[in-house]
Amino acid sequence: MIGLLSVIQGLTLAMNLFSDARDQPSKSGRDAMDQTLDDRALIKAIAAGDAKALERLFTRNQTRVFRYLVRVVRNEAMAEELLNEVFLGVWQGAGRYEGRSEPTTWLLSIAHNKAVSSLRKKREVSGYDEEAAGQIEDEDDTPEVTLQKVDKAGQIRTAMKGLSAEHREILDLVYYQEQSVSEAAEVLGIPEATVKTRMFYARKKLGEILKERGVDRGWP
Amino acid sequence: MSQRTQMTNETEVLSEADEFEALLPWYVSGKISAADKAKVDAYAAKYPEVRSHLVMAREEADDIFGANARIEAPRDALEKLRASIASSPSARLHSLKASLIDKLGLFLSGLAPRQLAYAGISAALAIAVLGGSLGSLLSGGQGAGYETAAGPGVSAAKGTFALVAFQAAAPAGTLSAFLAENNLTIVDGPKVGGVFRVRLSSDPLSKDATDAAIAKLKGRADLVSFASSAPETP
Repeated sequence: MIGLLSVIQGLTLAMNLFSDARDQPSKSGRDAMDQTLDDRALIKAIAAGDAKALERLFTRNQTRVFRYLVRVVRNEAMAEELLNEVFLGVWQGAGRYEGRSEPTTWLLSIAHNKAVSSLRKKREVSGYDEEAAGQIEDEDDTPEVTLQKVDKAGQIRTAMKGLSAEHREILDLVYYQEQSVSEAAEVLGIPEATVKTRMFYARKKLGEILKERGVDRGWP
Repeated sequence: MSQRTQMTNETEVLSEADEFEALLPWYVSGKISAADKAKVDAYAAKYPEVRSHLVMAREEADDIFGANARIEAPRDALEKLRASIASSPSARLHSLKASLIDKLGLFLSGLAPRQLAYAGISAALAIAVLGGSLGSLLSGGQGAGYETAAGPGVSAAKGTFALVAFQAAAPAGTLSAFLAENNLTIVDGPKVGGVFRVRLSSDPLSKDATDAAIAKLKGRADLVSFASSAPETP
C-alpha cells in the first residue's frame, strides 16, 4: 500500500514538474515539437479571431516572454506593459505570421522590437542612459547581493549587470531562450555573422568585468 | 539598441580562436548547426587546452538560467490582456464578422435551393457590405463601403451615381477591396434585377469623369455584370 502511494506521489510530482516546465524553454526535443505544433495552430486560430486561442498562447508563453523582457529592459513594470503590448500585437497581427519561423522566435522578435522601441523612447524622454547606468558599480548592495558576489555564480550574475542591453540580450537569447544562430538573427534583425560577433564581444566583455572583480577565468 | 556596442566592429570576420569562443554557447545549448559544431570540435582537438572553456560556457548557461528562473510572471497579466483585446479594433471586427456570418447562415438555411441560388448575389453583397463596414470601423468611419439611411453621415442624395449589378460569383473579399480602393459606396439596393445604386463620388463629376468611372467598373467583368450612370435623384 505504501509502495503504491509512493508511486502515485512520484507520478503526481512528475506531472507537476512537467506542467511547470511547459512554460520554460524546453529541454526535450519532442516537447518542443509538440509545443511548436500547438502554438502554430493557436496563432492560426488567433488570426481567425479566436480570443480563447490568444489566451492559451499567452498562458503557454507569458513566462518566457516576460523573462526575456525583464532581462532586456531591467524594469519589471515596464516589462509587464511590454508583455501586454506583445500579445496585443499578436492579436492584431497573427494573420501576418507565415509559419516560416518557430512561434517562439516570432514572439521573441515582437518582444525585441517592443523593448528596443521602449528603451529608445525612455532615453529620448529622460536622457537616462540605462546601459551606462548598468556599468556603474553598485554602491548600495543589499546583503543578498553582497553574498552573491562571494560565490562564483553570483559573480557572473552581478557581472552581467555591467553588460550593455545588446550583450545581455544575446546571452539570454542563446543560453536561456535556446535560439539558434539563425533564430537569434531573426529575433534581432541582424545577419547571422553579426550574431556570432556580438556573442563573442558579449562573452569577452563578461570575462573582462569578472577579471576586474578578481575572477580570472583564463579567457580573455 | 546601443551605440556603444555598435562601436565594436560587429562586421569583422572573427579569427578561428574567436569564433570558437563565440560558438561555445550554442555548443552548450545544443542548438548548433553541424558545420559550426564541427568547427568547435576541430579547434578543441587542435588546441586541447581550450577544452576547459566549455566549462566556462556551461557556468554562464547555469547562471543565466538561474537568474531567469527567479523572475515570476505577473499574476494579473491575463486579465489585463483580456481588457486590452476587448477594446481593440480587432475585437470589434471579429465580433461583427461572427455575428453577420451567423445571421447569414440562418437566413440561407431557411431558403429553398432555387431561392438559395438567387440569394447568392445578395449574400455576396452582404459580405461586401460587411467589408466596407469593417473598413470604416478600422479607419475611423471614413471611406467606401455601404451606407444605410440610419448610418452616419447620410449624404446619399448628393454626388455622382451609377446603377451596378455584381457578378453572383464575385469573391466577397475582392469585391469589398475593389469598392474601398475606388472609394465607391453602395447607397441603395438591391433593386429589381439585383441592381445596386452606387455613389461614384460625393461631388458632381463631369460627363467624361463619370464615363471613365463607369468604364472602370465595366473593366472588372469578374466582379461587375452591369454598370450605367444614374441620375442624382433615384
